[in-house]
Amino acid sequence: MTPLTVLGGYLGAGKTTIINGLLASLAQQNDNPRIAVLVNDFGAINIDAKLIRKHRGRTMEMTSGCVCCNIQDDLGGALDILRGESFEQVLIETSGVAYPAKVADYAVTWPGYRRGGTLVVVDALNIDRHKDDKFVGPLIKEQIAEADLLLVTKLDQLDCNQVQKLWDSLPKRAVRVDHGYCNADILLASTSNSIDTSKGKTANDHSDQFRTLAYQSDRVLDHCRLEVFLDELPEPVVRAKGWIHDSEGRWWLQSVGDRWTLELASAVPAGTSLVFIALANTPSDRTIDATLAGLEQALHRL
Amino acid sequence: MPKPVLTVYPARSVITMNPSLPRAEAVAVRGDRIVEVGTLTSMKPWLDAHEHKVDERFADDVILPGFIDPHLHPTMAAILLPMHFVTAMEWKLPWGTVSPSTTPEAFLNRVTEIEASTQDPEEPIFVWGYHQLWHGTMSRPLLNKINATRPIIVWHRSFHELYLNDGALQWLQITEAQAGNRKQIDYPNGHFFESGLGYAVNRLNPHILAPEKYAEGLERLKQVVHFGGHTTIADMATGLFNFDTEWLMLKQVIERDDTPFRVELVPDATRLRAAKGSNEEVLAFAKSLPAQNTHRLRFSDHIKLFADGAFFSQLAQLQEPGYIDGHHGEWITPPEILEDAMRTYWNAGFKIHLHVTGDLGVELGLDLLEKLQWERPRFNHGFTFEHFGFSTPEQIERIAKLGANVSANVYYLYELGDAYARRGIGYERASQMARLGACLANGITTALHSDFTMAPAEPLNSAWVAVNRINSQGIVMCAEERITAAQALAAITIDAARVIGRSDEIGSIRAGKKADFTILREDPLLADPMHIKDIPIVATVFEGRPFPIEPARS
Ligand SMILES: [Zn+2]
Repeated sequence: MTPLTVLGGYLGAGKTTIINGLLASLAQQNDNPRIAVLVNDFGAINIDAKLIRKHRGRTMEMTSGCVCCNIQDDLGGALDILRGESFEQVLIETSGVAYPAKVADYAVTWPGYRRGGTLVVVDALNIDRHKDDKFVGPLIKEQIAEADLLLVTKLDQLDCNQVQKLWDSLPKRAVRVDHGYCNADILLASTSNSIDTSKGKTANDHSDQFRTLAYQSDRVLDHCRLEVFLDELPEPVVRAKGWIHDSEGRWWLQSVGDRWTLELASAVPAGTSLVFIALANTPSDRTIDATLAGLEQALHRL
Repeated sequence: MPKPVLTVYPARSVITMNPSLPRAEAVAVRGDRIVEVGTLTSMKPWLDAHEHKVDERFADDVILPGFIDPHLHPTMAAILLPMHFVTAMEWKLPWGTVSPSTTPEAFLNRVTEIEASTQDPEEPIFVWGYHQLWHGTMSRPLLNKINATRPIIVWHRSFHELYLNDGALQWLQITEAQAGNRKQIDYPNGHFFESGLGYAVNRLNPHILAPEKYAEGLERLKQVVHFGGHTTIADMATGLFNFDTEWLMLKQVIERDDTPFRVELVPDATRLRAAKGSNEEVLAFAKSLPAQNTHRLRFSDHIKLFADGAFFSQLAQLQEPGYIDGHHGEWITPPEILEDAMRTYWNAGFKIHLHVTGDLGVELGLDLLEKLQWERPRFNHGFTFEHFGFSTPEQIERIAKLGANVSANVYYLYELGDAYARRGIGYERASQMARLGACLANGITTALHSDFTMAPAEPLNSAWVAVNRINSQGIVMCAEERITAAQALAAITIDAARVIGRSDEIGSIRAGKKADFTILREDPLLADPMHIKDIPIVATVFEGRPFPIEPARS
């Protein structure tokens, strides 16, 4: 099953820039997973075609279907086509007025796909104005409320006080995105195969924004304890993913911000292999270690 | 070439919709035009001067201007009409009136009858109109009992879910392995909804959108349009599915001598923009279209844009206090994008038709229109609010002051008034949907449309709802917003013509206009208002040629 990540957020927040940044940074490291990008927007599509080619990927455009009936379903049609082309990852860039969580709920129930997270881009510079807008205020608040994880752009255009104020006002886990660069491991559901655990970083991480932890084991985890552990993932852990073998079976884990899902997996390697990505430089910088301890508990108390 | 002979049609009465001569006794026609309306005596100078014949066929009937539906979707209709209607509400169709099936047994019995009467054992059967409120639960086993091998496809009335039997699953190659454990597919019951629906629809599309099906559907649409008494309709979103295909098929099927109506085509700019890339390119394309006009099919300087979501899906954008359950509507077009598009067409002198369903959608349309009026004032600009589900009295005043028109689907009140009062937005606002009385009190040009297939393509039915404001439960909702029978007739004739920019040629009966008539057995202005929808339509006359209408079989 192909993981599917939905990237939403209002017009001008920087969704396309983030996707182009992702494609470019992966290509630089010769890590070229096959990525398909589905774009639902009004007008010119600005996904960099050269970059997409490097990933042997493809960009597909969707237009919103007929407004009165469901006879036309571009998104479903696109997912059907892509299913046959064995991509490693599908990214959906929703239109600015879409409810990304709704798109995600729709798309991940499409046969052949699994959940890769709903990320919503927040435009730090304009968020206050947008939130109060007569026409799009409720929409933007709902986009944020239903996101798994927020990506905040344009913070460099605010002063320290404004940044702090914005950060405090966000209702959920958020990651700072500067100049369109967002760590690929945050965006993608597949695990990077090049985690340098000694540095606590993935190969994709060029900043000091994150600490990364890899966990591998051949032992079988306890399912109930695993669920408790996932419910209680410490705040700075913004992403966790990989595969798990526990007392009830084998699973794909996707944890994005506030939401985790386990999906039954048939063709996964043996054992458990997980990656945790947490915000560094937070007061609870030791959370990664605490996380590991929690996981060890889930394992040992079987 | 000698001028054709004049034909004089005496009638019980002629309702002209021309305020200077509201009633007449006869109308004289030459070729496709009216030469004089009045009495046999008053038109004597014409009759003395020209060879003429008196055609008595409508002598006992009432002649009205040909009905106009200013917002209908031939393409959507073409998809729906080849299906079998098994519905909880009555549908009058040319090939027979669909009598209501209001119980689970009635529904299944009707499907069984249809199945039994379909000769070819492999031919798939498409049924539209299932609704759990009346028809109870539906399932694959139930359909299999009727026939497990022939594909049977049952669509929900809303089009938002469907059921398949074994034959249909096999026909569409939907296997348990692919679809068995997806959340929005209930495979054992053959039930497909939300993304599950999309999954099934993508497999059905090659069949329901196949050219021969589409052509068959358009043929049926021709009958429906004639049967409703129309002589003009507007396709209020050409390109909704695919511009080139639609245009090609319309030319093949509609532009024929046996078609008793014309179609005004209004391109769907939202859809086109995705294909063309920019508003400027769509504008250039739209300007190039009239060069392709045929006799019956006409593009002009009208364009369609969309604000908020579908009314039937409760996706209309609402002002405070919104929906009872707290959900929000949707924008089809982001407000900034809509503004750019509107400015492009406004500055090019186009008449903009904006799809709005909720009062927040109306508010957005008004704010943008006010802005454009400030930037570049226009008179007689033809900006039209389409559908017009929810609105406020204050918005009606602004619409009037900004010089805009309203084209309303008043059938919303009939089918949804009760449901939306209970499970939507509450009684006060639900009862005031399609606020037409206020529009007319404020002097707004106001038309009625069907948005077929959202409402029956029967102008008299729309007029009946507008005059009585009665819902499907038989209850009057907001009598204060009722309009008079005369106003309702204007809304399906001359005001509808104004909304689509053709009032110089059609919409009333006066010398010089096209000889388009709708012939009624009874006088709608003298009839009991509750009877208006049941007045038999005897015939239409399109550009001087009579086209009789056979009463539907029951
Ligand atoms: Zn419509």
